[in-house]
Amino acid sequence: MARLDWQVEHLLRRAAFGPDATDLARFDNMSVAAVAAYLVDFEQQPDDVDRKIGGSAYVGITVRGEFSPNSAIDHARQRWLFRMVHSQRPLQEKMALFWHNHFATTYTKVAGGVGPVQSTKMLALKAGEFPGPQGQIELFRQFALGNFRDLLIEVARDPAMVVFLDGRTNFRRKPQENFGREIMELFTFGVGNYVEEDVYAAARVFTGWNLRRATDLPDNDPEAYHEFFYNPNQHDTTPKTFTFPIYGNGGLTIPERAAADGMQDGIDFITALAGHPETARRLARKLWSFFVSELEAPDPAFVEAVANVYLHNNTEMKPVVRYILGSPWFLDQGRLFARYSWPAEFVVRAMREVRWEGFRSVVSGRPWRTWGRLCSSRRTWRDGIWDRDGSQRVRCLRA
Amino acid sequence: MNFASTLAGNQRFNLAQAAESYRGSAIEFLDYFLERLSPSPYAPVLYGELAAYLGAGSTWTGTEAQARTKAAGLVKLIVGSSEYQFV
Repeated sequence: MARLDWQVEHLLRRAAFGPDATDLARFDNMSVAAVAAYLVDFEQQPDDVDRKIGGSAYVGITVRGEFSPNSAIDHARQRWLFRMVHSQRPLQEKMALFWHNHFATTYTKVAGGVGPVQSTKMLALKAGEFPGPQGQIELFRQFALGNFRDLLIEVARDPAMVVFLDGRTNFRRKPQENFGREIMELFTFGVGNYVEEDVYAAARVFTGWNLRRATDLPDNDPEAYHEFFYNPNQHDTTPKTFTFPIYGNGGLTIPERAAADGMQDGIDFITALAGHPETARRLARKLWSFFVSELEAPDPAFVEAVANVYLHNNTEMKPVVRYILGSPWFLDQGRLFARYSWPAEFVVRAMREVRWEGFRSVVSGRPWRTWGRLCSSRRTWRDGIWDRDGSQRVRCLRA
Repeated sequence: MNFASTLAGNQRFNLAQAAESYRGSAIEFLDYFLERLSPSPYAPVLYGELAAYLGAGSTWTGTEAQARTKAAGLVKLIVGSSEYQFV
Protein backbone atom coordinates (compact mmCIF):
# COMPACT_ATOMS: atom_id res chain seq x y z
CA MET A 1 0.00 0.00 0.00
CA ALA A 2 1.28 3.48 -0.86
CA ARG A 3 2.32 5.49 2.15
CA LEU A 4 3.05 9.15 2.41
CA ASP A 5 6.09 10.68 4.02
CA TRP A 6 5.66 10.45 7.80
CA GLN A 7 5.71 14.21 8.12
CA VAL A 8 2.97 14.56 5.52
CA GLU A 9 0.84 11.94 7.26
CA HIS A 10 1.36 13.75 10.55
CA LEU A 11 0.40 17.03 8.93
CA LEU A 12 -2.76 15.54 7.44
CA ARG A 13 -3.84 14.09 10.78
CA ARG A 14 -3.33 17.37 12.62
CA ALA A 15 -4.14 20.07 10.08
CA ALA A 16 -6.72 18.03 8.18
CA PHE A 17 -8.79 14.97 9.07
CA GLY A 18 -6.38 12.26 8.00
CA PRO A 19 -5.62 11.12 4.45
CA ASP A 20 -8.16 9.36 2.27
CA ALA A 21 -7.34 7.41 -0.88
CA THR A 22 -7.41 10.58 -2.99
CA ASP A 23 -4.89 12.26 -0.72
CA LEU A 24 -2.51 9.34 -1.06
CA ALA A 25 -2.32 10.07 -4.78
CA ARG A 26 -2.56 13.86 -4.52
CA PHE A 27 0.24 14.29 -2.02
CA ASP A 28 2.51 11.47 -3.13
CA ASN A 29 6.06 12.82 -3.61
CA MET A 30 5.09 16.26 -2.33
CA SER A 31 7.23 17.81 0.38
CA VAL A 32 5.69 18.55 3.75
CA ALA A 33 6.16 22.26 3.03
CA ALA A 34 4.23 21.97 -0.21
CA VAL A 35 1.39 20.08 1.47
CA ALA A 36 1.29 22.64 4.27
CA ALA A 37 1.01 25.41 1.68
CA TYR A 38 -1.81 23.49 -0.03
CA LEU A 39 -3.70 23.31 3.27
CA VAL A 40 -3.03 26.86 4.47
CA ASP A 41 -3.73 28.58 1.15
CA PHE A 42 -7.05 26.80 0.94
CA GLU A 43 -8.79 29.58 -0.95
CA GLN A 44 -6.98 28.23 -4.03
CA GLN A 45 -9.08 25.06 -3.76
CA PRO A 46 -12.72 25.03 -4.88
CA ASP A 47 -15.35 25.68 -2.24
CA ASP A 48 -17.76 23.22 -3.77
CA VAL A 49 -18.25 20.64 -1.06
CA ASP A 50 -21.93 21.38 -0.42
CA ARG A 51 -22.78 20.58 -4.02
CA LYS A 52 -21.65 17.00 -3.39
CA ILE A 53 -24.25 16.37 -0.69
CA GLY A 54 -26.59 13.64 -1.79
CA GLY A 55 -24.14 12.21 -4.33
CA SER A 56 -23.79 8.44 -4.30
CA ALA A 57 -20.01 8.57 -4.02
CA TYR A 58 -20.12 10.41 -0.71
CA VAL A 59 -21.24 9.94 2.87
CA GLY A 60 -25.01 9.69 2.97
CA ILE A 61 -27.38 12.10 4.66
CA THR A 62 -30.34 10.80 6.65
CA VAL A 63 -33.35 13.08 6.90
CA ARG A 64 -37.10 12.88 6.98
CA GLY A 65 -38.48 15.17 4.34
CA GLU A 66 -36.39 17.89 2.77
CA PHE A 67 -32.77 18.36 3.79
CA SER A 68 -32.85 21.63 5.77
CA PRO A 69 -29.39 22.36 7.17
CA ASN A 70 -30.22 26.04 7.67
CA SER A 71 -33.18 25.45 9.96
CA ALA A 72 -32.96 21.93 11.46
CA ILE A 73 -30.06 21.28 13.80
CA ASP A 74 -29.60 17.57 12.99
CA HIS A 75 -29.38 18.46 9.33
CA ALA A 76 -26.89 21.26 10.07
CA ARG A 77 -24.71 18.81 11.99
CA GLN A 78 -24.77 16.38 9.09
CA ARG A 79 -23.81 19.14 6.66
CA TRP A 80 -20.81 20.13 8.72
CA LEU A 81 -19.77 16.51 9.14
CA PHE A 82 -20.08 16.05 5.38
CA ARG A 83 -17.87 19.09 4.81
CA MET A 84 -15.21 17.74 7.17
CA VAL A 85 -15.16 14.41 5.37
CA HIS A 86 -15.21 15.70 1.80
CA SER A 87 -13.97 19.30 1.68
CA GLN A 88 -10.97 20.07 -0.48
CA ARG A 89 -10.24 22.73 2.13
CA PRO A 90 -9.84 20.58 5.25
CA LEU A 91 -7.86 23.16 7.23
CA GLN A 92 -10.72 25.61 6.80
CA GLU A 93 -13.08 23.14 8.47
CA LYS A 94 -10.46 22.27 11.06
CA MET A 95 -10.02 25.89 12.04
CA ALA A 96 -13.79 26.39 12.07
CA LEU A 97 -13.85 23.56 14.60
CA PHE A 98 -11.08 25.28 16.58
CA TRP A 99 -13.07 28.53 16.72
CA HIS A 100 -16.24 26.59 17.53
CA ASN A 101 -14.41 25.33 20.57
CA HIS A 102 -12.82 28.68 21.39
CA PHE A 103 -16.09 30.62 21.22
CA ALA A 104 -18.14 27.79 22.71
CA THR A 105 -21.81 28.54 22.03
CA THR A 106 -24.40 25.91 22.79
CA TYR A 107 -27.32 25.26 20.51
CA THR A 108 -29.52 24.37 23.46
CA LYS A 109 -29.23 27.71 25.26
CA VAL A 110 -29.77 29.67 22.05
CA ALA A 111 -32.77 27.47 21.22
CA GLY A 112 -34.12 28.18 24.69
CA GLY A 113 -34.10 31.85 23.83
CA VAL A 114 -35.31 31.95 20.24
CA GLY A 115 -36.56 28.45 19.44
CA PRO A 116 -34.99 25.61 17.45
CA VAL A 117 -35.40 27.07 13.96
CA GLN A 118 -33.87 30.45 14.78
CA SER A 119 -31.16 28.80 16.87
CA THR A 120 -30.17 26.62 13.94
CA LYS A 121 -30.19 29.62 11.63
CA MET A 122 -28.03 31.61 14.04
CA LEU A 123 -25.50 28.79 14.19
CA ALA A 124 -25.56 27.35 10.69
CA LEU A 125 -27.30 29.52 8.11
CA LYS A 126 -25.34 29.59 4.89
CA ALA A 127 -25.51 33.13 3.52
CA GLY A 128 -28.06 33.54 0.77
CA GLU A 129 -29.89 30.25 1.29
CA PHE A 130 -32.50 31.89 3.54
CA PRO A 131 -33.02 35.48 4.66
CA GLY A 132 -30.85 36.57 7.57
CA PRO A 133 -27.22 36.91 8.60
CA GLN A 134 -24.91 33.97 8.13
CA GLY A 135 -24.70 31.52 11.02
CA GLN A 136 -21.86 31.36 13.51
CA ILE A 137 -20.27 28.27 11.95
CA GLU A 138 -20.24 30.01 8.59
CA LEU A 139 -18.58 32.97 10.29
CA PHE A 140 -15.90 30.65 11.65
CA ARG A 141 -15.39 29.18 8.19
CA GLN A 142 -15.11 32.68 6.71
CA PHE A 143 -12.55 33.72 9.31
CA ALA A 144 -10.89 30.33 9.63
CA LEU A 145 -7.44 31.80 8.99
CA GLY A 146 -8.53 35.42 8.94
CA ASN A 147 -7.83 38.33 11.23
CA PHE A 148 -8.50 37.54 14.89
CA ARG A 149 -9.42 41.10 15.82
CA ASP A 150 -11.95 41.24 12.99
CA LEU A 151 -13.32 37.85 14.02
CA LEU A 152 -13.76 39.09 17.59
CA ILE A 153 -15.76 42.08 16.37
CA GLU A 154 -17.97 39.81 14.27
CA VAL A 155 -18.45 37.43 17.21
CA ALA A 156 -19.51 40.34 19.41
CA ARG A 157 -22.20 41.15 16.83
CA ASP A 158 -23.06 37.53 16.12
CA PRO A 159 -26.73 36.80 16.89
CA ALA A 160 -26.04 33.38 18.42
CA MET A 161 -23.41 34.91 20.72
CA VAL A 162 -25.67 37.82 21.65
CA VAL A 163 -28.34 35.33 22.74
CA PHE A 164 -25.88 32.92 24.35
CA LEU A 165 -24.15 35.50 26.51
CA ASP A 166 -27.28 37.52 27.24
CA GLY A 167 -26.51 40.64 25.24
CA ARG A 168 -30.23 41.13 24.81
CA THR A 169 -30.48 42.17 28.45
CA ASN A 170 -27.40 44.41 28.51
CA PHE A 171 -29.02 47.77 29.24
CA ARG A 172 -27.60 51.17 30.15
CA ARG A 173 -29.18 51.17 33.60
CA LYS A 174 -28.45 47.50 34.27
CA PRO A 175 -25.35 46.26 32.44
CA GLN A 176 -25.17 42.51 31.84
CA GLU A 177 -21.67 41.18 32.52
CA ASN A 178 -21.61 37.85 30.71
CA PHE A 179 -20.11 38.90 27.39
CA GLY A 180 -17.82 41.49 28.95
CA ARG A 181 -16.42 38.83 31.26
CA GLU A 182 -16.13 36.03 28.72
CA ILE A 183 -14.43 38.11 26.06
CA MET A 184 -11.59 38.61 28.51
CA GLU A 185 -11.65 35.28 30.33
CA LEU A 186 -12.29 32.88 27.45
CA PHE A 187 -11.87 34.66 24.13
CA THR A 188 -8.72 36.73 24.66
CA PHE A 189 -6.06 37.07 27.38
CA GLY A 190 -7.63 34.95 30.11
CA VAL A 191 -7.80 34.96 33.88
CA GLY A 192 -5.08 36.87 35.68
CA ASN A 193 -4.95 39.78 33.28
CA TYR A 194 -8.01 41.68 34.46
CA VAL A 195 -9.88 42.48 37.65
CA GLU A 196 -13.55 42.60 38.53
CA GLU A 197 -13.73 46.33 37.84
CA ASP A 198 -12.66 45.61 34.26
CA VAL A 199 -15.64 43.26 33.90
CA TYR A 200 -18.02 46.01 35.00
CA ALA A 201 -16.44 48.46 32.55
CA ALA A 202 -16.52 45.91 29.73
CA ALA A 203 -20.21 45.25 30.33
CA ARG A 204 -20.86 48.98 29.93
CA VAL A 205 -18.85 49.03 26.71
CA PHE A 206 -21.32 46.62 25.13
CA THR A 207 -24.55 48.16 26.43
CA GLY A 208 -26.94 48.55 23.51
CA TRP A 209 -25.38 45.73 21.45
CA ASN A 210 -28.60 43.83 20.90
CA LEU A 211 -30.78 42.00 18.38
CA ARG A 212 -34.03 42.89 16.72
CA ARG A 213 -36.59 40.91 14.81
CA ALA A 214 -36.25 41.71 11.14
CA THR A 215 -39.63 40.28 10.15
CA ASP A 216 -43.11 39.89 11.63
CA LEU A 217 -43.00 36.15 11.05
CA PRO A 218 -43.01 33.70 13.98
CA ASP A 219 -39.67 32.24 15.06
CA ASN A 220 -40.59 28.78 13.77
CA ASP A 221 -40.77 30.16 10.22
CA PRO A 222 -37.42 29.70 8.39
CA GLU A 223 -38.01 32.98 6.60
CA ALA A 224 -37.99 34.85 9.91
CA TYR A 225 -34.72 36.10 11.32
CA HIS A 226 -33.09 38.26 13.96
CA GLU A 227 -30.26 40.65 13.20
CA PHE A 228 -27.71 42.60 15.17
CA PHE A 229 -28.92 46.00 16.24
CA TYR A 230 -27.03 48.74 18.06
CA ASN A 231 -29.49 50.61 20.22
CA PRO A 232 -27.96 54.02 21.07
CA ASN A 233 -30.69 54.66 23.61
CA GLN A 234 -29.40 51.79 25.71
CA HIS A 235 -25.71 52.62 25.45
CA ASP A 236 -23.85 53.94 28.46
CA THR A 237 -21.97 56.95 27.10
CA THR A 238 -19.87 57.66 30.18
CA PRO A 239 -16.10 57.00 30.18
CA LYS A 240 -14.88 53.44 30.88
CA THR A 241 -11.54 52.97 32.58
CA PHE A 242 -9.59 49.71 32.59
CA THR A 243 -6.53 48.44 34.40
CA PHE A 244 -4.76 47.64 31.08
CA PRO A 245 -4.06 49.89 28.11
CA ILE A 246 -6.81 50.43 25.60
CA TYR A 247 -4.90 52.76 23.30
CA GLY A 248 -1.44 52.73 21.82
CA ASN A 249 -0.43 55.72 23.90
CA GLY A 250 -1.09 53.71 27.05
CA GLY A 251 -4.45 55.34 27.71
CA LEU A 252 -6.63 53.32 30.07
CA THR A 253 -9.92 55.12 29.46
CA ILE A 254 -12.43 54.90 26.65
CA PRO A 255 -13.69 58.48 26.47
CA GLU A 256 -17.26 59.68 26.72
CA ARG A 257 -18.92 59.57 23.31
CA ALA A 258 -22.24 60.53 21.87
CA ALA A 259 -24.64 57.60 21.99
CA ALA A 260 -24.77 57.46 18.20
CA ASP A 261 -21.02 56.79 18.13
CA GLY A 262 -21.08 54.34 21.02
CA MET A 263 -20.22 51.23 19.03
CA GLN A 264 -16.73 52.63 18.74
CA ASP A 265 -16.30 51.81 22.44
CA GLY A 266 -16.57 48.13 21.65
CA ILE A 267 -14.28 48.35 18.65
CA ASP A 268 -11.63 50.16 20.68
CA PHE A 269 -11.95 47.62 23.47
CA ILE A 270 -11.79 44.60 21.16
CA THR A 271 -8.82 46.07 19.29
CA ALA A 272 -7.01 46.47 22.60
CA LEU A 273 -7.78 42.91 23.67
CA ALA A 274 -6.83 41.37 20.34
CA GLY A 275 -3.51 43.21 20.28
CA HIS A 276 -2.61 42.51 23.91
CA PRO A 277 0.58 40.44 24.26
CA GLU A 278 -1.13 38.07 26.70
CA THR A 279 -3.86 37.37 24.14
CA ALA A 280 -1.12 36.48 21.69
CA ARG A 281 0.45 34.11 24.23
CA ARG A 282 -2.87 32.53 25.20
CA LEU A 283 -3.74 31.85 21.56
CA ALA A 284 -0.26 30.41 21.10
CA ARG A 285 -0.82 28.04 24.02
CA LYS A 286 -4.18 26.93 22.64
CA LEU A 287 -2.64 26.37 19.22
CA TRP A 288 0.12 24.33 20.85
CA SER A 289 -2.51 22.00 22.28
CA PHE A 290 -4.43 21.92 19.00
CA PHE A 291 -1.54 21.34 16.63
CA VAL A 292 1.54 20.25 18.55
CA SER A 293 0.94 18.32 21.77
CA GLU A 294 -1.48 17.76 24.58
CA LEU A 295 0.93 15.53 26.42
CA GLU A 296 3.34 18.26 27.46
CA ALA A 297 3.04 21.87 28.48
CA PRO A 298 3.66 24.47 25.78
CA ASP A 299 7.33 25.19 25.19
CA PRO A 300 7.88 28.82 26.29
CA ALA A 301 10.03 29.38 23.20
CA PHE A 302 7.14 28.24 21.01
CA VAL A 303 4.71 30.54 22.81
CA GLU A 304 6.95 33.57 22.37
CA ALA A 305 7.71 32.78 18.73
CA VAL A 306 4.06 32.28 17.80
CA ALA A 307 2.96 35.32 19.78
CA ASN A 308 5.52 37.41 17.90
CA VAL A 309 4.25 36.17 14.53
CA TYR A 310 0.70 37.03 15.58
CA LEU A 311 1.55 40.53 16.82
CA HIS A 312 3.86 41.39 13.95
CA ASN A 313 1.16 40.39 11.48
CA ASN A 314 -1.53 42.58 13.00
CA THR A 315 -3.48 39.63 14.50
CA GLU A 316 -3.71 37.75 11.21
CA MET A 317 -4.04 34.00 11.80
CA LYS A 318 -2.82 32.67 8.47
CA PRO A 319 0.84 33.57 9.09
CA VAL A 320 0.52 32.11 12.57
CA VAL A 321 -0.76 28.73 11.43
CA ARG A 322 1.66 28.66 8.49
CA TYR A 323 4.51 29.25 10.94
CA ILE A 324 3.33 26.53 13.32
CA LEU A 325 2.96 23.87 10.63
CA GLY A 326 6.50 24.49 9.44
CA SER A 327 8.04 24.82 12.86
CA PRO A 328 10.45 22.35 14.44
CA TRP A 329 8.00 21.87 17.31
CA PHE A 330 5.30 20.64 14.95
CA LEU A 331 7.62 18.46 12.88
CA ASP A 332 9.35 16.86 15.85
CA GLN A 333 9.09 13.09 15.44
CA GLY A 334 8.83 12.80 19.20
CA ARG A 335 5.47 14.56 19.05
CA LEU A 336 3.75 12.17 16.68
CA PHE A 337 0.46 10.98 18.17
CA ALA A 338 0.82 13.43 21.04
CA ARG A 339 -2.72 14.72 20.80
CA TYR A 340 -6.12 13.18 21.50
CA SER A 341 -8.71 13.40 18.75
CA TRP A 342 -11.76 15.47 19.46
CA PRO A 343 -14.93 13.44 18.80
CA ALA A 344 -15.63 15.16 15.49
CA GLU A 345 -12.05 14.58 14.35
CA PHE A 346 -12.23 10.96 15.42
CA VAL A 347 -15.31 10.02 13.42
CA VAL A 348 -14.28 12.03 10.35
CA ARG A 349 -10.80 10.53 10.28
CA ALA A 350 -12.25 7.05 10.68
CA MET A 351 -14.62 7.56 7.78
CA ARG A 352 -11.84 8.94 5.59
CA GLU A 353 -9.45 6.11 6.39
CA VAL A 354 -11.93 3.23 6.50
CA ARG A 355 -14.07 4.63 3.62
CA TRP A 356 -17.63 5.75 3.55
CA GLU A 357 -19.46 4.43 0.49
CA GLY A 358 -22.99 3.60 1.51
CA PHE A 359 -22.37 4.85 5.05
CA ARG A 360 -24.75 7.36 6.51
CA SER A 361 -23.40 10.21 8.55
CA VAL A 362 -26.29 10.12 10.99
CA VAL A 363 -24.80 6.97 12.53
CA SER A 364 -21.71 8.89 13.53
CA GLY A 365 -23.70 11.91 14.60
CA ARG A 366 -24.79 10.47 17.90
CA PRO A 367 -21.79 11.75 19.87
CA TRP A 368 -22.60 15.35 19.07
CA ARG A 369 -26.37 15.00 18.89
CA THR A 370 -26.38 14.29 22.60
CA TRP A 371 -23.97 17.08 23.44
CA GLY A 372 -24.66 20.74 23.78
CA ARG A 373 -22.82 22.27 20.87
CA LEU A 374 -23.31 21.89 17.16
CA CYS A 375 -20.40 19.52 16.80
CA SER A 376 -18.74 18.67 20.06
CA SER A 377 -15.13 19.62 19.77
CA ARG A 378 -14.00 18.70 23.24
CA ARG A 379 -13.45 15.47 25.01
CA THR A 380 -12.27 14.37 28.35
CA TRP A 381 -9.99 11.44 28.66
CA ARG A 382 -9.87 9.12 31.61
CA ASP A 383 -8.38 5.67 31.69
CA GLY A 384 -8.18 5.47 27.95
CA ILE A 385 -11.78 6.25 27.09
CA TRP A 386 -13.79 9.34 26.45
CA ASP A 387 -16.07 10.38 29.24
CA ARG A 388 -19.68 9.40 28.98
CA ASP A 389 -21.99 11.76 27.15
CA GLY A 390 -23.46 13.16 30.33
CA SER A 391 -20.12 14.30 31.68
CA GLN A 392 -19.21 15.74 28.31
CA ARG A 393 -22.42 17.66 28.15
CA VAL A 394 -21.83 19.22 31.53
CA ARG A 395 -18.37 20.21 30.43
CA CYS A 396 -19.66 21.82 27.23
CA LEU A 397 -22.36 23.76 28.98
CA ARG A 398 -19.88 25.04 31.50
CA ALA A 399 -17.54 26.26 28.80
CA MET B 1 -23.50 -1.21 18.37
CA ASN B 2 -20.86 1.48 18.50
CA PHE B 3 -19.57 3.73 15.76
CA ALA B 4 -16.44 1.73 14.95
CA SER B 5 -18.39 -1.50 14.70
CA THR B 6 -21.07 0.05 12.52
CA LEU B 7 -18.60 1.69 10.17
CA ALA B 8 -16.39 -1.38 9.83
CA GLY B 9 -19.35 -3.68 9.27
CA ASN B 10 -20.77 -1.33 6.68
CA GLN B 11 -17.48 -1.27 4.78
CA ARG B 12 -16.57 -4.97 4.99
CA PHE B 13 -16.85 -5.54 1.23
CA ASN B 14 -14.71 -2.50 0.40
CA LEU B 15 -12.18 -3.38 3.06
CA ALA B 16 -11.81 -6.98 1.89
CA GLN B 17 -11.49 -5.86 -1.71
CA ALA B 18 -8.88 -3.24 -0.88
CA ALA B 19 -6.84 -5.84 1.00
CA GLU B 20 -7.01 -8.38 -1.81
CA SER B 21 -3.28 -8.24 -2.45
CA TYR B 22 -2.47 -8.69 1.22
CA ARG B 23 -4.24 -11.93 2.06
CA GLY B 24 -1.15 -14.09 1.80
CA SER B 25 -0.78 -14.27 5.55
CA ALA B 26 -2.55 -12.96 8.58
CA ILE B 27 0.42 -10.74 9.43
CA GLU B 28 0.49 -9.24 5.93
CA PHE B 29 -3.25 -8.61 6.24
CA LEU B 30 -2.80 -7.00 9.65
CA ASP B 31 0.09 -4.80 8.55
CA TYR B 32 -1.91 -3.54 5.59
CA PHE B 33 -4.67 -2.25 7.85
CA LEU B 34 -2.26 -0.78 10.36
CA GLU B 35 -0.58 1.16 7.56
CA ARG B 36 -3.89 2.24 6.13
CA LEU B 37 -5.40 3.40 9.42
CA SER B 38 -2.13 4.67 10.92
CA PRO B 39 -2.90 4.40 14.64
CA SER B 40 -0.12 5.27 17.04
CA PRO B 41 2.22 2.26 17.35
CA TYR B 42 0.90 -0.71 19.31
CA ALA B 43 2.85 -2.35 22.06
CA PRO B 44 4.05 -5.82 20.97
CA VAL B 45 1.53 -7.56 23.19
CA LEU B 46 -1.37 -5.67 21.59
CA TYR B 47 -0.01 -6.28 18.11
CA GLY B 48 0.08 -9.95 19.05
CA GLU B 49 -3.53 -9.85 20.17
CA LEU B 50 -4.63 -8.35 16.86
CA ALA B 51 -2.73 -11.06 15.02
CA ALA B 52 -4.31 -13.67 17.27
CA TYR B 53 -7.75 -12.33 16.39
CA LEU B 54 -7.07 -13.06 12.73
CA GLY B 55 -6.18 -16.63 13.58
CA ALA B 56 -9.01 -17.19 16.00
CA GLY B 57 -11.82 -19.59 15.08
CA SER B 58 -10.11 -21.07 12.05
CA THR B 59 -6.72 -21.14 10.41
CA TRP B 60 -5.93 -18.18 8.18
CA THR B 61 -6.63 -19.11 4.57
CA GLY B 62 -7.20 -15.67 3.07
CA THR B 63 -10.45 -16.56 1.32
CA GLU B 64 -12.82 -13.81 0.27
CA ALA B 65 -15.33 -14.78 2.94
CA GLN B 66 -12.69 -14.90 5.66
CA ALA B 67 -11.24 -11.59 4.53
CA ARG B 68 -14.63 -9.89 4.75
CA THR B 69 -15.35 -11.16 8.20
CA LYS B 70 -11.90 -10.55 9.59
CA ALA B 71 -11.39 -7.18 7.92
CA ALA B 72 -14.53 -5.81 9.53
CA GLY B 73 -13.61 -7.23 12.92
CA LEU B 74 -10.02 -6.08 12.69
CA VAL B 75 -10.93 -2.55 11.66
CA LYS B 76 -13.42 -2.37 14.50
CA LEU B 77 -10.67 -3.38 16.94
CA ILE B 78 -8.20 -0.84 15.53
CA VAL B 79 -10.62 2.08 15.30
CA GLY B 80 -11.96 1.25 18.74
CA SER B 81 -8.52 1.09 20.32
CA SER B 82 -6.92 3.78 22.44
CA GLU B 83 -4.09 4.03 19.93
CA TYR B 84 -6.46 5.23 17.21
CA GLN B 85 -7.68 8.11 19.35
CA PHE B 86 -4.29 9.79 19.13
CA VAL B 87 -3.40 12.02 16.21
